[in-house]
Amino acid sequence: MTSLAKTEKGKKFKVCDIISDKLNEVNLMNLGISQGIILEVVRKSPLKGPLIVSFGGSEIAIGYNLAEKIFGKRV
Amino acid sequence: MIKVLLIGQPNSGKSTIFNSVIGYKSISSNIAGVTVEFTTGKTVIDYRTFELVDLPGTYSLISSDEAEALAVNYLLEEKEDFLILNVIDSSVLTRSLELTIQLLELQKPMVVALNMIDDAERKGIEINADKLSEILGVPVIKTIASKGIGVSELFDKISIHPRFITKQNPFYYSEGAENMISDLKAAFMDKFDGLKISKRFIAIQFIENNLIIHEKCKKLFLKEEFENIIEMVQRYETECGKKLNIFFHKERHLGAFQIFEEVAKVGQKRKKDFLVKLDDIFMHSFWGYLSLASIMFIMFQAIFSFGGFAEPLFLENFGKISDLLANYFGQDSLLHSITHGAIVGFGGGIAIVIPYLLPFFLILAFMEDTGYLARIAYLLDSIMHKIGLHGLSVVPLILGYGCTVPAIISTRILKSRKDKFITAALSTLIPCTARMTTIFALVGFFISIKAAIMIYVINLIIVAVSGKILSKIFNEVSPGFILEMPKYHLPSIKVLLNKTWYRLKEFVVIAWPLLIIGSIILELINYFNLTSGINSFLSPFTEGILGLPAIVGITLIFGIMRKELTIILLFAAIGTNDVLKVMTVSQIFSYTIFITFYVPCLATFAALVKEIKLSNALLVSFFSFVIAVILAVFFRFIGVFF
Repeated sequence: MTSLAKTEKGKKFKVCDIISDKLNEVNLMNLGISQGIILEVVRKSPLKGPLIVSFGGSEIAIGYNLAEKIFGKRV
Repeated sequence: MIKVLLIGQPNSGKSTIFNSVIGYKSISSNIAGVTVEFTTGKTVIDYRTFELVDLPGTYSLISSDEAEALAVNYLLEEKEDFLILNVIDSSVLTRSLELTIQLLELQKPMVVALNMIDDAERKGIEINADKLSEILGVPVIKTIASKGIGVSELFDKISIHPRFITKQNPFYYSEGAENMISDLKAAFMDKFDGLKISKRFIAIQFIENNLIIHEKCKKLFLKEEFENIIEMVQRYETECGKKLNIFFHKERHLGAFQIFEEVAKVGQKRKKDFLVKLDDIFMHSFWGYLSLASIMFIMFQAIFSFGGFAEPLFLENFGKISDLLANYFGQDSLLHSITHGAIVGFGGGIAIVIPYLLPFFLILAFMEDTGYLARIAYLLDSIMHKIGLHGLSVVPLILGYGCTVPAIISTRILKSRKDKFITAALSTLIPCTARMTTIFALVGFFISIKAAIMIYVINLIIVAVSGKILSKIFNEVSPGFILEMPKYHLPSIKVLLNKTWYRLKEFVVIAWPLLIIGSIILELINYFNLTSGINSFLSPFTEGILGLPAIVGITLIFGIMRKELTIILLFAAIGTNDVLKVMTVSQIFSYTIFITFYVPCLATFAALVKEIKLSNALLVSFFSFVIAVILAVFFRFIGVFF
């Protein structure tokens, strides 16, 4: 298992667990990100900036700190 | 009259539909949560009256912030009959349907607008609207709101619809979930029979921990009854092995996906959108920042050219009116003072602030609607994070360079109270155009341009450090940065103008009366010769602590009312334009630094009260005052070395 933050650009990532507080969990869920979802990392930025992931037709920016708490597997 | 509630996820084009039908009363925005108030409007289409309510864009009815909670509250409180217009971004159908499914549970008349069909087609997605309509049990109309396509058909369907009591097809969860729902409904007994919302909806929302529903229930049930229900739900959760809100969310997600499979065909994507390629530049690790800097530069140039051009034109005309009145009332009469004050205040608003605000708001609206603003938040998030802020905080801070009032108003886009307070406090510290004129006219002219720029640099450092300190004090963890990057869109001119007008109106309503009152007070002070009295009263502070000549006392009071008048009043107080005759270089610097930071002007204070409440507004004022004093004293003593 690895974290979303460590996933490289262009790779697909399957979400297994989110270790964060309830508010973040709900926010992610509302945008469609929860256990079992497969995300594609579209863009990474230097200096621990946010990642851009795409899935289901939309692109979402996720802050680096939050991405470190999203665990899963590369697929 | 038909009451229509517009509900949809952010960036679905909901407000574009509202705007195209109603006009000047709504703000449409592409960043989730910007429309934090709801707007209503009435219109007549084909002899039928519609009242539209544009609720904030919400991803789900389980509220996670102020904006979404507003939508849910409204749904619960609404007494009149209404119809739901669910606006969907067709290119993100699956996720959009998750909200639609929740809305179906309300069992209200509903119409679905399958908006942004052109975007879906560009992605190669073809949707069978009739099939979708069959599955959901509600009319589904394809629209492209930004081009006005499909909107009249939509309203045709809306006007016919309430007449037919079509039962929306409720979404059925798995057996275990359905059992939970029935048990809960039974436990509710008849407590909810009076409400106009379906029990099933309340039960599901209760299970999913919707806090608003919980609050409502607490009021309706006896303590033990409520606790029994909570226990029951907790038992389910243990049995289920997962958190119930996640469990239900997943079922909806799966359901939405299944519906998608049934109604949509995904074919060949049309050739890669040029618009998508834009992000390769705008979000690039190097080009992104370069383009941001260039765009900011162009933006400031545009604003200051327009402002510089329009301002003298206005000032001239107001000068003429004032002269006319002087002749009429007699230069020295009280009446003249009052009316002169009123005109200067009124004119000042138009002449001095609006030439800068108007282009500011227009450009901001353009950046919001094209989707670029989300990119800015993305690019600056890591920097904002280091100061303890959220990426979106950059918007109020940028606005602060123009005028603090809209900067404070725009803190609405921040979801957490902590972010909102800190950003508002920091925006107050940022020197607005009024302070800019003082900085350049005093330090820039009498010392050097480099020194003036240094003040800006010092300001940025203080802002960064204050942000860091304030966020440590607050200690609340900010919600993580999660922001949808909307597709780029060319905004409609109509929507841009409406938004700009709406925001200008907000500023005018708050600031203008204060500008006028402030000016009148100043005139009265002059008229009754209170100036020297005030100066002596303040001298222990101005001379003693700040080390400045006592005559500047009155200018500090003036500055609270009208910061842009500070410099004129300084000249008047001193009696000459050559400030060096009365103040040393060091004093000029201290004075300017003090003016830059000390307290928010009256209009800004009013905006602060509106956005973060009186107690916090006072806190911010106190905080900036303390910083100003510390800095002024520091430079007073450092000055010895220059």
